[in-house]
Amino acid sequence: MPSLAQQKYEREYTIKPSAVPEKASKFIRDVFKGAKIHWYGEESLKQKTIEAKFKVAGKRYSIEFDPSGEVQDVEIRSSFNAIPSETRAVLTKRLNREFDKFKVVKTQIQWKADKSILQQALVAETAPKSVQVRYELILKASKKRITNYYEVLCEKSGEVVSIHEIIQRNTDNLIY
Amino acid sequence: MYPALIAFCLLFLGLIPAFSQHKYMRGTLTQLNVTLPVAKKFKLNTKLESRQIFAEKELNEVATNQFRYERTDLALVLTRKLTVNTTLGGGYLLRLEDREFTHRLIQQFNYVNALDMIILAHRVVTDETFQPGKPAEVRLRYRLGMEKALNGRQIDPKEMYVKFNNEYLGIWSNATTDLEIRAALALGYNSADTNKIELGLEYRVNEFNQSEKAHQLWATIGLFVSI
Repeated sequence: MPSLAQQKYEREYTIKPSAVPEKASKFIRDVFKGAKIHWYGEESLKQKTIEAKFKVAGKRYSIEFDPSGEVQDVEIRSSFNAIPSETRAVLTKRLNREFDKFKVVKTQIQWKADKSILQQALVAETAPKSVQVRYELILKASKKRITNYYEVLCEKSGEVVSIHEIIQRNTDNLIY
Repeated sequence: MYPALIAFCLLFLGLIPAFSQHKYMRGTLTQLNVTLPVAKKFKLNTKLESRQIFAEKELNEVATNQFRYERTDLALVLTRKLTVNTTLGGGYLLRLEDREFTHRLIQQFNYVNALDMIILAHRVVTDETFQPGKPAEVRLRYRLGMEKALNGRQIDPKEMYVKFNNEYLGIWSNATTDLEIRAALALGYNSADTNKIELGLEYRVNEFNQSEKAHQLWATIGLFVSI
Protein backbone atom coordinates (compact mmCIF):
# COMPACT_ATOMS: atom_id res chain seq x y z
CA MET A 1 0.00 0.00 0.00
CA PRO A 2 1.45 3.39 -0.91
CA SER A 3 2.04 5.66 2.03
CA LEU A 4 -0.06 8.80 2.31
CA ALA A 5 2.55 10.48 4.47
CA GLN A 6 3.83 13.77 3.21
CA GLN A 7 5.93 16.38 4.90
CA LYS A 8 4.06 19.32 6.40
CA TYR A 9 5.77 22.63 7.02
CA GLU A 10 4.13 25.78 8.25
CA ARG A 11 5.21 29.25 9.22
CA GLU A 12 2.98 31.09 11.59
CA TYR A 13 3.02 34.51 13.18
CA THR A 14 0.89 36.70 15.43
CA ILE A 15 -1.53 39.11 13.77
CA LYS A 16 -2.84 42.22 15.51
CA PRO A 17 -6.67 42.23 15.78
CA SER A 18 -6.69 45.47 13.79
CA ALA A 19 -5.06 43.67 10.84
CA VAL A 20 -7.65 40.87 10.74
CA PRO A 21 -10.22 41.08 7.88
CA GLU A 22 -13.53 42.45 9.16
CA LYS A 23 -15.44 39.41 7.85
CA ALA A 24 -13.34 37.10 10.04
CA SER A 25 -13.67 39.30 13.14
CA LYS A 26 -17.45 39.56 12.64
CA PHE A 27 -17.83 35.78 12.27
CA ILE A 28 -16.27 35.29 15.71
CA ARG A 29 -18.00 38.29 17.33
CA ASP A 30 -21.43 37.06 16.18
CA VAL A 31 -21.00 33.74 17.98
CA PHE A 32 -18.53 34.30 20.80
CA LYS A 33 -19.15 37.72 22.28
CA GLY A 34 -16.35 38.91 24.54
CA ALA A 35 -14.04 35.96 23.90
CA LYS A 36 -10.32 36.77 24.00
CA ILE A 37 -9.05 35.82 20.55
CA HIS A 38 -5.45 35.15 19.54
CA TRP A 39 -5.01 35.74 15.82
CA TYR A 40 -2.31 34.01 13.79
CA GLY A 41 -1.28 34.04 10.16
CA GLU A 42 -0.21 30.66 8.77
CA GLU A 43 1.73 29.96 5.62
CA SER A 44 2.18 26.46 4.31
CA LEU A 45 3.81 25.46 1.05
CA LYS A 46 0.41 25.65 -0.66
CA GLN A 47 -1.65 28.33 1.04
CA LYS A 48 -1.94 31.30 3.36
CA THR A 49 -4.61 31.38 6.07
CA ILE A 50 -5.68 33.33 9.13
CA GLU A 51 -6.46 31.47 12.32
CA ALA A 52 -8.37 32.52 15.41
CA LYS A 53 -7.58 30.57 18.58
CA PHE A 54 -9.52 30.90 21.79
CA LYS A 55 -11.06 29.08 24.71
CA VAL A 56 -14.71 29.45 25.66
CA ALA A 57 -16.50 27.50 28.40
CA GLY A 58 -13.61 25.06 28.68
CA LYS A 59 -13.57 24.29 24.95
CA ARG A 60 -10.58 25.16 22.76
CA TYR A 61 -11.51 26.46 19.32
CA SER A 62 -9.39 27.08 16.28
CA ILE A 63 -11.19 28.75 13.37
CA GLU A 64 -9.49 29.11 10.02
CA PHE A 65 -10.19 31.83 7.45
CA ASP A 66 -8.84 32.57 3.98
CA PRO A 67 -6.93 35.87 3.53
CA SER A 68 -10.20 37.66 2.61
CA GLY A 69 -11.83 36.58 5.89
CA GLU A 70 -14.07 33.79 4.54
CA VAL A 71 -14.36 30.97 7.07
CA GLN A 72 -12.68 27.73 5.98
CA ASP A 73 -13.23 25.39 8.89
CA VAL A 74 -13.74 25.15 12.62
CA GLU A 75 -11.67 22.87 14.81
CA ILE A 76 -12.64 21.97 18.36
CA ARG A 77 -10.22 20.24 20.72
CA SER A 78 -11.54 16.86 21.76
CA SER A 79 -10.20 13.46 22.81
CA PHE A 80 -9.68 10.28 20.82
CA ASN A 81 -12.20 8.45 23.00
CA ALA A 82 -14.85 11.08 22.17
CA ILE A 83 -14.79 9.93 18.52
CA PRO A 84 -17.64 7.47 17.77
CA SER A 85 -16.49 3.91 18.40
CA GLU A 86 -17.20 2.73 14.79
CA THR A 87 -15.05 5.59 13.43
CA ARG A 88 -12.30 4.80 15.91
CA ALA A 89 -12.33 1.13 14.94
CA VAL A 90 -11.98 1.86 11.19
CA LEU A 91 -9.31 4.50 11.81
CA THR A 92 -7.32 2.38 14.27
CA LYS A 93 -7.29 -0.52 11.82
CA ARG A 94 -5.99 1.78 9.07
CA LEU A 95 -3.34 3.39 11.32
CA ASN A 96 -2.16 -0.02 12.48
CA ARG A 97 -1.45 -0.82 8.83
CA GLU A 98 0.38 2.49 8.30
CA PHE A 99 2.49 2.46 11.49
CA ASP A 100 4.25 -0.13 13.60
CA LYS A 101 2.78 1.60 16.65
CA PHE A 102 1.13 4.90 17.37
CA LYS A 103 -0.17 7.08 20.16
CA VAL A 104 -2.74 9.85 19.71
CA VAL A 105 -1.44 13.00 21.36
CA LYS A 106 -4.05 15.49 20.15
CA THR A 107 -7.54 15.19 18.68
CA GLN A 108 -9.62 17.89 17.03
CA ILE A 109 -13.08 17.70 15.49
CA GLN A 110 -13.18 19.60 12.21
CA TRP A 111 -16.38 21.16 10.87
CA LYS A 112 -16.75 22.47 7.33
CA ALA A 113 -19.88 24.17 5.99
CA ASP A 114 -21.24 27.49 4.82
CA LYS A 115 -20.70 30.43 7.12
CA SER A 116 -24.24 30.64 8.51
CA ILE A 117 -24.50 26.88 9.08
CA LEU A 118 -21.17 26.88 10.91
CA GLN A 119 -22.31 29.76 13.10
CA GLN A 120 -25.53 27.89 13.96
CA ALA A 121 -23.56 24.74 14.73
CA LEU A 122 -21.21 26.66 17.02
CA VAL A 123 -24.12 28.22 18.91
CA ALA A 124 -25.90 24.85 19.22
CA GLU A 125 -22.57 23.10 20.02
CA THR A 126 -23.56 20.28 17.69
CA ALA A 127 -23.08 19.68 13.99
CA PRO A 128 -26.21 19.23 11.82
CA LYS A 129 -26.07 16.83 8.86
CA SER A 130 -25.17 19.65 6.47
CA VAL A 131 -21.83 20.09 8.25
CA GLN A 132 -18.94 17.99 6.97
CA VAL A 133 -17.37 16.42 10.05
CA ARG A 134 -13.79 15.22 9.99
CA TYR A 135 -11.23 14.41 12.66
CA GLU A 136 -7.70 15.76 12.83
CA LEU A 137 -5.26 13.83 14.97
CA ILE A 138 -1.66 14.39 15.96
CA LEU A 139 0.11 11.09 16.38
CA LYS A 140 3.42 10.07 17.81
CA ALA A 141 4.03 7.07 15.62
CA SER A 142 6.78 4.65 14.62
CA LYS A 143 7.43 3.38 11.14
CA LYS A 144 10.40 1.12 10.38
CA ARG A 145 11.65 1.83 13.92
CA ILE A 146 11.73 5.60 13.37
CA THR A 147 9.39 7.67 15.50
CA ASN A 148 7.92 10.95 14.32
CA TYR A 149 4.92 13.15 14.82
CA TYR A 150 2.19 12.94 12.15
CA GLU A 151 -0.96 14.89 11.39
CA VAL A 152 -3.79 12.63 10.30
CA LEU A 153 -7.06 13.84 8.78
CA CYS A 154 -9.90 11.36 8.53
CA GLU A 155 -13.53 11.33 7.47
CA LYS A 156 -16.45 10.80 9.84
CA SER A 157 -16.41 7.18 8.64
CA GLY A 158 -12.80 6.74 9.77
CA GLU A 159 -11.43 6.68 6.22
CA VAL A 160 -8.06 8.44 6.12
CA VAL A 161 -7.88 11.57 3.96
CA SER A 162 -4.24 12.49 4.51
CA ILE A 163 -1.20 11.80 6.66
CA HIS A 164 1.51 14.43 6.96
CA GLU A 165 4.76 14.04 8.80
CA ILE A 166 5.32 17.06 11.04
CA ILE A 167 8.83 18.37 10.65
CA GLN A 168 10.50 18.76 14.02
CA ARG A 169 12.19 22.06 14.77
CA ASN A 170 15.91 22.02 15.39
CA THR A 171 16.48 21.99 19.14
CA ASP A 172 20.25 21.44 19.21
CA ASN A 173 20.65 24.69 21.16
CA LEU A 174 18.55 23.19 23.98
CA ILE A 175 20.33 19.85 23.99
CA TYR A 176 24.01 20.85 24.02
CA MET B 1 6.58 38.71 27.07
CA TYR B 2 8.56 41.97 26.63
CA PRO B 3 7.86 43.35 30.15
CA ALA B 4 8.94 39.98 31.60
CA LEU B 5 12.13 40.13 29.56
CA ILE B 6 12.92 43.66 30.73
CA ALA B 7 12.16 42.71 34.35
CA PHE B 8 14.53 39.74 34.13
CA CYS B 9 17.32 41.89 32.64
CA LEU B 10 16.85 44.44 35.43
CA LEU B 11 17.04 41.60 37.95
CA PHE B 12 20.34 40.50 36.45
CA LEU B 13 21.69 44.04 36.52
CA GLY B 14 20.50 44.36 40.11
CA LEU B 15 22.65 41.40 41.05
CA ILE B 16 25.85 43.31 40.23
CA PRO B 17 25.81 45.65 43.22
CA ALA B 18 24.23 42.91 45.34
CA PHE B 19 27.35 40.77 45.25
CA SER B 20 29.97 43.49 44.88
CA GLN B 21 31.19 42.86 48.45
CA HIS B 22 31.58 39.13 47.91
CA LYS B 23 33.70 36.83 45.83
CA TYR B 24 32.72 37.37 42.24
CA MET B 25 33.67 37.12 38.61
CA ARG B 26 32.21 39.01 35.64
CA GLY B 27 33.02 38.54 32.04
CA THR B 28 32.03 37.16 28.69
CA LEU B 29 31.27 33.61 27.72
CA THR B 30 31.57 32.97 24.00
CA GLN B 31 30.47 29.73 22.41
CA LEU B 32 30.59 28.21 18.95
CA ASN B 33 28.44 25.12 18.69
CA VAL B 34 28.53 22.97 15.56
CA THR B 35 26.37 19.87 15.20
CA LEU B 36 26.67 17.45 12.33
CA PRO B 37 24.87 14.21 11.56
CA VAL B 38 27.17 11.18 11.54
CA ALA B 39 24.64 8.42 10.91
CA LYS B 40 20.87 8.00 10.72
CA LYS B 41 20.28 8.40 14.45
CA PHE B 42 23.59 9.94 15.54
CA LYS B 43 24.78 13.53 15.81
CA LEU B 44 28.17 14.87 16.77
CA ASN B 45 28.26 18.16 18.60
CA THR B 46 31.45 20.19 18.77
CA LYS B 47 31.50 23.05 21.22
CA LEU B 48 34.25 25.62 21.51
CA GLU B 49 33.76 27.87 24.49
CA SER B 50 36.03 30.47 26.03
CA ARG B 51 35.78 32.76 29.03
CA GLN B 52 37.15 36.26 29.29
CA ILE B 53 37.09 38.04 32.64
CA PHE B 54 36.57 41.76 33.01
CA ALA B 55 36.21 42.06 36.78
CA GLU B 56 36.87 39.72 39.68
CA LYS B 57 37.27 39.70 43.41
CA GLU B 58 38.43 37.08 45.87
CA LEU B 59 37.12 37.09 49.42
CA ASN B 60 38.91 39.71 51.58
CA GLU B 61 40.88 40.94 48.61
CA VAL B 62 40.70 44.07 46.52
CA ALA B 63 38.63 43.83 43.34
CA THR B 64 40.41 43.99 40.02
CA ASN B 65 38.80 45.41 36.93
CA GLN B 66 41.18 44.15 34.31
CA PHE B 67 40.63 42.13 31.17
CA ARG B 68 42.00 38.61 31.43
CA TYR B 69 41.56 35.60 29.17
CA GLU B 70 40.71 32.68 31.44
CA ARG B 71 40.22 29.45 29.54
CA THR B 72 39.03 27.62 26.45
CA ASP B 73 37.01 24.39 26.33
CA LEU B 74 36.67 22.07 23.39
CA ALA B 75 33.93 19.49 23.83
CA LEU B 76 32.82 16.66 21.57
CA VAL B 77 29.52 14.97 22.36
CA LEU B 78 28.02 12.15 20.30
CA THR B 79 24.27 11.74 20.78
CA ARG B 80 21.91 9.02 19.64
CA LYS B 81 18.24 9.73 19.09
CA LEU B 82 16.34 7.24 21.22
CA THR B 83 12.82 8.46 20.43
CA VAL B 84 11.39 11.53 18.76
CA ASN B 85 11.76 13.38 22.10
CA THR B 86 14.80 11.80 23.72
CA THR B 87 18.52 11.56 23.06
CA LEU B 88 21.35 9.84 24.88
CA GLY B 89 24.92 10.98 24.49
CA GLY B 90 28.48 10.73 25.64
CA GLY B 91 31.54 12.84 25.07
CA TYR B 92 34.83 14.33 26.07
CA LEU B 93 35.91 17.85 26.99
CA LEU B 94 39.41 19.23 26.90
CA ARG B 95 40.05 22.45 28.81
CA LEU B 96 43.09 24.67 28.47
CA GLU B 97 43.62 26.94 31.46
CA ASP B 98 46.88 28.38 32.78
CA ARG B 99 48.80 26.22 30.27
CA GLU B 100 47.36 23.08 31.84
CA PHE B 101 44.92 20.63 30.35
CA THR B 102 41.84 19.37 32.17
CA HIS B 103 39.98 16.30 30.91
CA ARG B 104 36.29 15.62 31.36
CA LEU B 105 34.09 12.67 30.42
CA ILE B 106 30.45 13.50 29.74
CA GLN B 107 27.26 11.42 29.72
CA GLN B 108 23.95 13.08 28.96
CA PHE B 109 20.24 12.41 28.50
CA ASN B 110 17.78 14.86 26.97
CA TYR B 111 14.03 15.05 26.79
CA VAL B 112 12.64 17.78 24.55
CA ASN B 113 8.92 18.42 24.31
CA ALA B 114 7.31 20.98 22.00
CA LEU B 115 4.17 22.27 23.68
CA ASP B 116 1.60 24.62 22.14
CA MET B 117 3.46 27.82 22.99
CA ILE B 118 6.91 26.81 24.26
CA ILE B 119 9.57 24.16 23.84
CA LEU B 120 10.60 22.52 27.10
CA ALA B 121 13.92 20.71 27.36
CA HIS B 122 15.20 18.63 30.23
CA ARG B 123 18.88 17.70 30.30
CA VAL B 124 20.52 15.37 32.79
CA VAL B 125 24.31 15.18 32.68
CA THR B 126 26.90 13.34 34.68
CA ASP B 127 30.54 14.21 34.16
CA GLU B 128 33.89 13.28 35.61
CA THR B 129 36.72 15.82 35.62
CA PHE B 130 40.40 15.01 35.85
CA GLN B 131 42.82 17.85 36.52
CA PRO B 132 46.57 17.60 37.29
CA GLY B 133 47.26 17.90 41.01
CA LYS B 134 43.58 17.85 42.01
CA PRO B 135 41.24 15.04 43.06
CA ALA B 136 38.85 13.73 40.44
CA GLU B 137 35.51 15.52 40.49
CA VAL B 138 32.10 14.07 39.69
CA ARG B 139 29.12 16.26 38.87
CA LEU B 140 25.42 15.51 38.46
CA ARG B 141 23.63 18.23 36.52
CA TYR B 142 19.99 18.91 35.71
CA ARG B 143 18.99 21.70 33.36
CA LEU B 144 15.52 22.89 32.50
CA GLY B 145 15.44 24.87 29.27
CA MET B 146 12.53 26.82 27.83
CA GLU B 147 12.28 28.50 24.47
CA LYS B 148 9.50 30.69 23.14
CA ALA B 149 8.96 32.50 19.88
CA LEU B 150 8.58 36.25 20.17
CA ASN B 151 6.11 36.23 17.30
CA GLY B 152 3.51 33.48 17.14
CA ARG B 153 3.58 30.06 18.71
CA GLN B 154 6.57 28.45 17.03
CA ILE B 155 10.08 29.59 16.18
CA ASP B 156 10.20 29.88 12.42
CA PRO B 157 13.18 30.83 10.26
CA LYS B 158 14.11 34.52 10.46
CA GLU B 159 12.32 34.88 13.80
CA MET B 160 13.49 35.92 17.22
CA TYR B 161 12.94 33.95 20.37
CA VAL B 162 13.69 34.03 24.04
CA LYS B 163 15.44 31.19 25.87
CA PHE B 164 15.65 30.58 29.60
CA ASN B 165 17.83 27.95 31.27
CA ASN B 166 17.97 26.96 34.91
CA GLU B 167 20.59 24.42 35.93
CA TYR B 168 21.53 22.72 39.19
CA LEU B 169 24.91 21.04 39.59
CA GLY B 170 25.87 18.75 42.45
CA ILE B 171 29.67 18.53 42.72
CA TRP B 172 31.56 15.80 44.56
CA SER B 173 35.25 15.06 45.04
CA ASN B 174 37.42 13.60 47.80
CA ALA B 175 38.20 17.13 48.93
CA THR B 176 34.82 18.79 48.81
CA THR B 177 31.09 18.69 48.04
CA ASP B 178 29.40 21.70 46.52
CA LEU B 179 26.34 22.93 44.66
CA GLU B 180 26.17 25.32 41.75
CA ILE B 181 23.04 27.00 40.47
CA ARG B 182 22.85 28.68 37.08
CA ALA B 183 20.20 30.82 35.45
CA ALA B 184 20.49 32.17 31.95
CA LEU B 185 18.30 34.33 29.79
CA ALA B 186 19.06 34.84 26.12
CA LEU B 187 17.53 36.53 23.15
CA GLY B 188 17.95 34.42 20.04
CA TYR B 189 17.61 34.78 16.31
CA ASN B 190 16.77 31.72 14.26
CA SER B 191 18.15 32.57 10.85
CA ALA B 192 17.35 29.33 9.04
CA ASP B 193 16.51 26.63 11.58
CA THR B 194 20.08 25.41 11.13
CA ASN B 195 21.74 28.61 12.35
CA LYS B 196 20.92 30.36 15.57
CA ILE B 197 22.62 33.16 17.43
CA GLU B 198 21.93 33.90 21.07
CA LEU B 199 22.89 36.88 23.20
CA GLY B 200 22.21 36.89 26.88
CA LEU B 201 23.21 36.95 30.50
CA GLU B 202 24.05 34.06 32.76
CA TYR B 203 24.28 34.13 36.52
CA ARG B 204 26.01 31.38 38.49
CA VAL B 205 26.35 30.91 42.22
CA ASN B 206 28.46 28.23 43.89
CA GLU B 207 30.74 27.52 46.87
CA PHE B 208 27.75 26.86 49.08
CA ASN B 209 30.19 24.90 51.23
CA GLN B 210 32.17 28.07 52.05
CA SER B 211 31.34 30.92 54.42
CA GLU B 212 30.68 33.20 51.44
CA LYS B 213 29.21 32.08 48.15
CA ALA B 214 30.94 32.87 44.87
CA HIS B 215 28.97 34.70 42.22
CA GLN B 216 29.55 34.83 38.49
CA LEU B 217 27.84 37.00 35.93
CA TRP B 218 28.50 36.37 32.28
CA ALA B 219 27.46 38.17 29.15
CA THR B 220 26.94 35.29 26.75
CA ILE B 221 27.09 34.97 23.02
CA GLY B 222 26.44 31.64 21.34
CA LEU B 223 26.41 30.61 17.73
CA PHE B 224 24.67 27.32 16.97
CA VAL B 225 25.24 25.76 13.57
CA SER B 226 23.62 22.48 12.52
CA ILE B 227 25.01 20.99 9.35
